[in-house]
Amino acid sequence: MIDRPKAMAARGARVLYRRLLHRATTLLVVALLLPVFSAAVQAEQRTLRVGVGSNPPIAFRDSSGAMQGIAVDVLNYVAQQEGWRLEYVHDEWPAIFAMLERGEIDLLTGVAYTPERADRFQFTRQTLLSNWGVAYAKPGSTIQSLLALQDKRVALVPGATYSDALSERVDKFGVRIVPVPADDYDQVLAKVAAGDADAGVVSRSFGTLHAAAYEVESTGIVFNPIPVRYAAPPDADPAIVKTLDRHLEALLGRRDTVYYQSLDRWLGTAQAATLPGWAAWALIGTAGTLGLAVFFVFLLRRQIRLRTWALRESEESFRATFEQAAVGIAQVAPDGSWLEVNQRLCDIVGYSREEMLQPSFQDITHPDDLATDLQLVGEVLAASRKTYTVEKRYLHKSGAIVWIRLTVALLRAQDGAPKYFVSVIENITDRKLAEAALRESEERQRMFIDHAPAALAMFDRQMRYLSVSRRWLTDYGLEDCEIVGRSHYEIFPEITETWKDVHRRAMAGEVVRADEERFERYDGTVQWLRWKVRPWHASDGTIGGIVIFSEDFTARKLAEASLREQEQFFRLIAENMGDMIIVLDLEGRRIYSSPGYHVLFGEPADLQGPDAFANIHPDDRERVRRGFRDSVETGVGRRGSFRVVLADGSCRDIETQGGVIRGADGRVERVVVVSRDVTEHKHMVDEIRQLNIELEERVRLRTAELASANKALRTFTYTVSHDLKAPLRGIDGYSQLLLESYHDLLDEEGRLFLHNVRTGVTQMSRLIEDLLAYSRIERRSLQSQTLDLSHQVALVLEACRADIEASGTVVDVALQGLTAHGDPEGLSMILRNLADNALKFARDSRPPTLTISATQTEHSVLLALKDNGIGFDMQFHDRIFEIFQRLQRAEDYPGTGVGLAIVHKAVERMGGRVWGESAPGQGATFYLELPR
Amino acid sequence: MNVGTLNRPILLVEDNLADVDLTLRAFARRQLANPVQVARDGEEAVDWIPRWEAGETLPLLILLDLKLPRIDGLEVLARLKSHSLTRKIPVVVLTTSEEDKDIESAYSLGANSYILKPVDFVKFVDVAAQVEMYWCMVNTPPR
Repeated sequence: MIDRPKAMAARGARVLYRRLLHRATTLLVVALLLPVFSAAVQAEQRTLRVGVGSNPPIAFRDSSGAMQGIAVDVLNYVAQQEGWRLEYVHDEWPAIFAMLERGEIDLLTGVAYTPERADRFQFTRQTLLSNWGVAYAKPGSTIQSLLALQDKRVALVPGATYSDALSERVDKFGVRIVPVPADDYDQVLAKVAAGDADAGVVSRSFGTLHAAAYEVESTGIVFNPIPVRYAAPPDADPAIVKTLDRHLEALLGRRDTVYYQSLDRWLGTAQAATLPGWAAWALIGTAGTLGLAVFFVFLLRRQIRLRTWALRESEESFRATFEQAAVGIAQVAPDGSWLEVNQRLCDIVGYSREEMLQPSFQDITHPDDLATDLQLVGEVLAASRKTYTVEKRYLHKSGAIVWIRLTVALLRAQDGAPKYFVSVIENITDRKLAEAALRESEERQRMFIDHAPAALAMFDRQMRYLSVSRRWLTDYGLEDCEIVGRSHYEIFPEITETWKDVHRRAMAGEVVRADEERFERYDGTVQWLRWKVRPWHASDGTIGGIVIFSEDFTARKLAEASLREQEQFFRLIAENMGDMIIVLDLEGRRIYSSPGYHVLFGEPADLQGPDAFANIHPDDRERVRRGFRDSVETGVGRRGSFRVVLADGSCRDIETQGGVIRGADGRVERVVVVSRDVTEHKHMVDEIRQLNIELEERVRLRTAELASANKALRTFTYTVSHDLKAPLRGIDGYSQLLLESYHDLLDEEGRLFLHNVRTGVTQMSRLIEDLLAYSRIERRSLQSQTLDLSHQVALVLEACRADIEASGTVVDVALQGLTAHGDPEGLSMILRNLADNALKFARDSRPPTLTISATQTEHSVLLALKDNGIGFDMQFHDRIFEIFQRLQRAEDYPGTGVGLAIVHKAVERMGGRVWGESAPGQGATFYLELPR
Repeated sequence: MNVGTLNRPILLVEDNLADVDLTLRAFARRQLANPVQVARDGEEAVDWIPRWEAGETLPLLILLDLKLPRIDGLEVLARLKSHSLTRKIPVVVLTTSEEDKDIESAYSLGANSYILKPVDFVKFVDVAAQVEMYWCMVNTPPR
């Protein structure tokens, strides 16, 4: 390993020397033969038709119609050298290829070399330059990888190499693009710049030159590196291609050639030194050297022998080193093809040495890494950097990915032209895997802390947060803070000295913990915490900081407090109510009994064992036990009543209501029984029942008495109506007969007596009729129906019509169609009596008036009968409704004193009210209020 | 004029002697052609039934008071109306009772008319005349 650089240098020197020797020899030969050749070529000047497809700046037609570009410059130079006459043909790429295929053109400038094309055409062996596709986009575009081209509009020239290559590449990645066709690369970049496309694909050589003018930037998407060469039809004279190759090799090998001048012109690459008039130099050099040539040849040969020997020794040493190196070493041509590989490299990628020399490095490089590598290669070629080192992936022959660390240096010839790359390849797959495993492990650990169900935080010695769990952030209200790297004390300025002391103790190696601690935040909220603070140790064994674990169990604490409060609440109820409460297990054993229970059964110590059934009366015990079991099975509490036997042998009546307590699994675990001593209550109920029976009997007797009295009353009124009337009829009848039959036998006085007898009989008869009416009102059953007041009043007025007409009373009725509710005959009797009264007492007014009107309220109707009669003194307003009460003498205003009593009785029975308002001589108004 | 009705008697069921006398006088005033038979209580009234069965002339009309000694007037009415022989004889209840219950019962049992006995003798004579006129002269009795 230590000898490696020296060996490499030796190998470099050897190759360089060999090349120099070869070139010197070639130059000599060329110089010697040049005049002869030139003459021969000029003698038979050849005309070549050269195809040009648009591929600036390699080959294109400028606005004046002249062909331009690097490939054109170089070809013009070669033509001048070879005495060819060139005839350029410009056309679209597909047409140009078709012409080439048919042999209609002899050469094609600046065309991409591909193995597929190599089958169809002859290609120069020398590569004019390497070119690759680059995607450009506007500055600030998010397109930075092939995948980002998904659904993007991509400008491209249809049929151009890079267009096809991009399509193929995106297809392979399953990315769909929207192609925007353009005529040439200029248009591609113009479309991108104008926003007609999101990205555009051009060659690297064109892009380098024109991107700035269009204000577009490389996206970093580079692909399909290809060698640009010249091509000829398959059956053309191979001498043309060979001649071109010869020139190209010469042109590419020196920095002062027309090739590099052209590169500088088209790509703007700064050339360290450009030698004007290179041909002159060459000729002068050749002429000067020519004389001494023969002499030098001898010396040269001798020196060559000596050097060859030394070199062979050096090479053997180098080769041994090269082959036995623990790293892969390769020489790679500027176009990417392998020149030499060592066994170690073959082992890394799994190809044999022969297989390895076939593909280029691009073929075994992981596609994702290729762009970076090509970029770096480009930079090295452009001399903007000397070497580069990347970690990238190779594709093993088996298809597996091999991570390697690649160090590349470019070896240039003494004239500065790139010769080949020396690549040192180190297999770092194991390290990469280890790194990935470590990353994964760290990620796991981070996830573990992040998602830990507890609040966890790790601090360094300065109490700065290193790592923290999400729970910590939520528990301490730090969700929106970026706290890693910040000091704990800065975030929690309220932290007390006590806590800081805990931290210090943990820093000193102690594990400090608390199972229940009240912590008051500066905003006043209280948190209950369980915490543990312990040190953590760095790999060297020193304490690196502390880890704080804390659990906020405030919610549980509050729940516990609430539960305790509830428990107290219910215990208070259970212990202070008169009822007895016992809680039983499933076997019927007492687990809890309330003070009320002990009042009846004695203190717990006096109870005979825990069996709750022991003190139940033997006749009831089994029944109660069955009910208990049923409750346990069904989970439904039962109501029950039974007797218990107390210690003194007395019996008490008990009523119970059961309920069950279920466990978390829903199964019945306990039975709660609330009982009440109902012995007194039961006695009381019995007494009440007995009293009720007695009372009912008394009511029955009283009712019977009343019924009997009622019956007697009926018999009485019957007797009054019948037996009192019969003698009256006799008196009336015979006094009439006496007056008729014995009129002449009686004197005036006798006839007056008989007349007074008959007046008495009439009065008596009327009294009896009124009494009967009164008694009937009192006894008859009433109907209840809607009564049309207008109709009822009309009926009554019709009955009184004779009296109304006789007295000339003016009657005014205004009832607005109102209705009342009650017994039609009752109302009729009321109205009849009130109307009679009015007519009677107003008979002397001039003219008598009777006004009947009504108003209604929500529940009743108020009827008013107003007359302009003699009225009455309000001091008698109650007495006028009493039976047999009269305010006027019978000879002035005849009457029995029963009329208003009948009215009062009827109104009362119909649920109404009647009253009168008057003053002597002012008329009277009787109000009648009835339900609606 | 119903010729065949002239000699058929009227049965007056009335316990009050004055009323019997006044009724007879009232009829007499109208020169009533029909003889008047008098039953002084309910029992006497129902005792007529076997006599009618034995062949005595059925009355053209029965004037029935309700308040009677021994057998009540409504009871007499019930028996008369339930007997096939007497069922068709028109019965006019002539009473001082204005009781709803009496009116209702009398019609239910088949009374043909219900007339209140006025206290006023003039009116009483008038009622008697109307009854006689209607039942003995206008009405066609069953044959």
